[in-house]
Amino acid sequence: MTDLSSLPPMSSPTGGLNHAARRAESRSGKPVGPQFGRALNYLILFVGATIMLFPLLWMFTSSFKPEWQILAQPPIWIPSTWIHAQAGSTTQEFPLWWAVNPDGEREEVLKVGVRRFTTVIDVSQMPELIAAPADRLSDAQPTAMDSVTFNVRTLTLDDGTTRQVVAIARDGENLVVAAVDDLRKIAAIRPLDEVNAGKRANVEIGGYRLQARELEEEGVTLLALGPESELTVVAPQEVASAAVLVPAEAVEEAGLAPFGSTELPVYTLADHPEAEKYVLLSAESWQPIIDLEQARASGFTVENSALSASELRTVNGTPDMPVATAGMEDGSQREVVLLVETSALTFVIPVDEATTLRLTPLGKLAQPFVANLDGVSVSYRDDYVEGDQRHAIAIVSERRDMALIAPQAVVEQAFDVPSESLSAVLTPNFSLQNYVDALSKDLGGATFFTFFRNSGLLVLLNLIGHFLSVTLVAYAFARLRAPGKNFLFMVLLSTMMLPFPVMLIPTFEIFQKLGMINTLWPLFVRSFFGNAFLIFLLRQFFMAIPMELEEAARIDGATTLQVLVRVILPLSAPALATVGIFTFWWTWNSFFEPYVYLSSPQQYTVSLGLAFFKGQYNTSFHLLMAASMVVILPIILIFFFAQRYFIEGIQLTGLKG
Amino acid sequence: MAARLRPFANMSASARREALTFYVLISPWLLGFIIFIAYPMVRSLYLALTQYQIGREPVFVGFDNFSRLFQDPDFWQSLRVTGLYVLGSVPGSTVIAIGVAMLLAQNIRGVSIWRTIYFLPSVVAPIAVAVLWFYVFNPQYGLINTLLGYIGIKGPGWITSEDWALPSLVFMSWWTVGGQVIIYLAGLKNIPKEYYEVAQIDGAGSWARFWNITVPMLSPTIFFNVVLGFIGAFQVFDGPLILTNGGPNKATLTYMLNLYREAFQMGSLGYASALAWVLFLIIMALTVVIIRSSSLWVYYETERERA
Repeated sequence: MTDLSSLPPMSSPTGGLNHAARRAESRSGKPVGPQFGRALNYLILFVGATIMLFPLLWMFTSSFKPEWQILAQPPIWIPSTWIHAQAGSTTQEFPLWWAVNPDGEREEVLKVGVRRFTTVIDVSQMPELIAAPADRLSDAQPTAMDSVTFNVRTLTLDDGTTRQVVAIARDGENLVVAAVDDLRKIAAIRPLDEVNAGKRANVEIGGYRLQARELEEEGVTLLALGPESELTVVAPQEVASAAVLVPAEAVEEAGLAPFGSTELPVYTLADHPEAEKYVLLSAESWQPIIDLEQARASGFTVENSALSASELRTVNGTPDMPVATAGMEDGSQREVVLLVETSALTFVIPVDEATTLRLTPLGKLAQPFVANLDGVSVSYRDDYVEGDQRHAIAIVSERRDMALIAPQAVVEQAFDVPSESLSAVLTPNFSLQNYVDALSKDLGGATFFTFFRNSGLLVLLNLIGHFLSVTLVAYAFARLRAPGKNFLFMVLLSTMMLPFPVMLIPTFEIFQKLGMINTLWPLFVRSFFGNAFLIFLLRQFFMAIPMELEEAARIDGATTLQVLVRVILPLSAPALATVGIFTFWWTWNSFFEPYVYLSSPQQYTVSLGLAFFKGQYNTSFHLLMAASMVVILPIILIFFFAQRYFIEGIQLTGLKG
Repeated sequence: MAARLRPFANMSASARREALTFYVLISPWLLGFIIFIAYPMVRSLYLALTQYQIGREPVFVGFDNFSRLFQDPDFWQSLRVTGLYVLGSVPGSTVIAIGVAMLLAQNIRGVSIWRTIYFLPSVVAPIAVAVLWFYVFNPQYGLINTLLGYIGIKGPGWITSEDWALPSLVFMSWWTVGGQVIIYLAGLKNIPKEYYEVAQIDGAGSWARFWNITVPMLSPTIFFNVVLGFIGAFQVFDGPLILTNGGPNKATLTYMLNLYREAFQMGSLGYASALAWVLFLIIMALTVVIIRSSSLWVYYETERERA
């Protein structure tokens, strides 16, 4: 430690760096071994650099992903949007998938149905059954044999030999099993709904009760062994544009029909010829909605007594809307759509002004908020998405069950593929939505902007504090002679290595006595008393400035302060920049002290705010990454523009030997 | 009499004025040192001997806090956890940093770009780093297990597993090794290349050059950074707080996390002061051991000059 006070002066940051770079070049004479060694060096550096950068890159990309892509398995590396095809002229959109069609080409398709299958055996051909203790059996492993899949288990016998078996039933503690080799001769794959359509039949074989299904038409009794497998029936995306929305009760089942190599249930429409067959694309509840703005502007409340009896009509393409005649205050009559009915009042809109009235699938509407429109409570959402636009919409009238259907002829090109072979049709898209969401979240009465303001204020105050104190102290240590100076300089240096926890509680006590807990004060007042590392840094720099410059000024009668301000500081821009950057860096990134001193979110700094945010949105990785990106962005920007100051400063912290 | 009390008495007027200016100029620091360092150190020693609930007055209880401390399973657990963390973090990052610095010190193209890349993780806020790794370590959706999944390995639960949580924190600490890389790189650049040239003429292989020139010449830097790294690692807080909050089952309850909980969640400022002093003594004792042992492995050029 005694060597510390006699440290050599610090070279100016620019000079030091150039010097180092020059020296690195002049080292080219040093043998670096064979070509292989060099390649290995680069390889190791590259692997290391990947480890350093990859998590940051991942953070960056994740911050742009919608939540489902964060959770997607297999992972989606590039933030994307999922391409959807609009269903006819409705507000429904079908997600598109990549599938390989029967011609072996990749095609964008939409799902139009599923076919489930299971492995079955005819109970009349049931082979020998054995009861085996469950602990002698391994877990079931789906295994394909010939074209049939079995849930195969390994049975370990007393003599240690093993047999491949399939569990057929449960018998108390035991599982009733049959050998795979016996089963594979008689097993078949059948559609699950065909099997389940059979009558339940309890069969007793070899003393074991089995739950089977009796298919009366075929005269067989089948036992489903599993595993179930699934094929998804898909159709080219053109089907979506042919989709028509009809009331669910108008659709009637009309059996299965073949489509290419697959089959699908088809339907007829009431009031349409039986020969017109349709494929059902979706059946769900649909909700009438209207743009909130239009409801506000053109809607009004009338007393129920001023309304005539309502009748159901199609309004703006929306079927079955209640329409009535309202007596207006001026005595005139208007035809209005009843949007929200209460016991005394009804919120209505004139029929010819309901131009944004439409249906939307209930699934697209999350839990609604409530607004008061002209005295009536109306449910609304302000984040309803249609296409790529967000709308504020009012939820009005009654929901109804609707079916989206497409004519059979349009679906002719349908085919089936294993469900797991489908992959979403994605297009890269870096949406800022996560940033908007993360930054606008209410965090106990504050948002990230509050944290930014607090941290910014602290940076400013700490900069002022450090520039005022550090320059004076550093100058004194660099230039002035006084008894006790070396001792004090050693004290200064040793405080840099002091573990802070030992000062923590009394310091907390001081700020508590001053009533500064849960204020920003404890986080900046100490900067006005200097900082050991920055004093050391600046002192090293000051010592490198030639004494002659200063002496010339002194001869002209300048005071110490004048010398410092007029001669030394203008020459110290690089070192002062380092002081400023380190102050910014520490203040921005500091966590422990804000964590100790601040308790209400209104006072939080960015780091503390991020930790708080993480506590609130623990599993919303997309928002966490966006918030983290926002927190690190200022420092990353400064780092790229002022890297050399970081590096000079870091070198100084570590090279005191 | 008056003259004897004035230490500057035998100085010239200008020297006296200079000394006075010196003390005026350093007074902010000196004041800060007294208020925020010297006084708190003494005060916390006193508080360690008191029972002091937050908001009340401290009551002197002698060494009660210390006897309680030695029977406190959380204290021993936190000491064990912190010790293991230090043993994993410090040597690991020292070896990695020297290794990378040595590679960069070879005549590598684009040194400044490599250096930037390695330093970047150390620049960003430690809390953001912790939040990022909280995601990276996620057993289901995290980066590591996703990548392991590609090569058919089912990764462990990392921060959710009692066995892997502490190693996870150590791995994370290795990621922010960039600052040390910069320091060692600068240290390596300060070794005169003549030494290597002479050694080569004498027929020393690259391994011999590493052990006989690089290591001794770099040893003061290594020494200093090991001491600093060691003091820092003993106080690790952010990572365990954000990633695991000390869990699972206190597997990552570090010393500072335990101290923070005692002080600011339990409000036992007296007991926490005792914990702080024990930490201080441990760090000081180990630092002294390292410094004492340094004469065995640290090579100072001044020694050579004196010899």
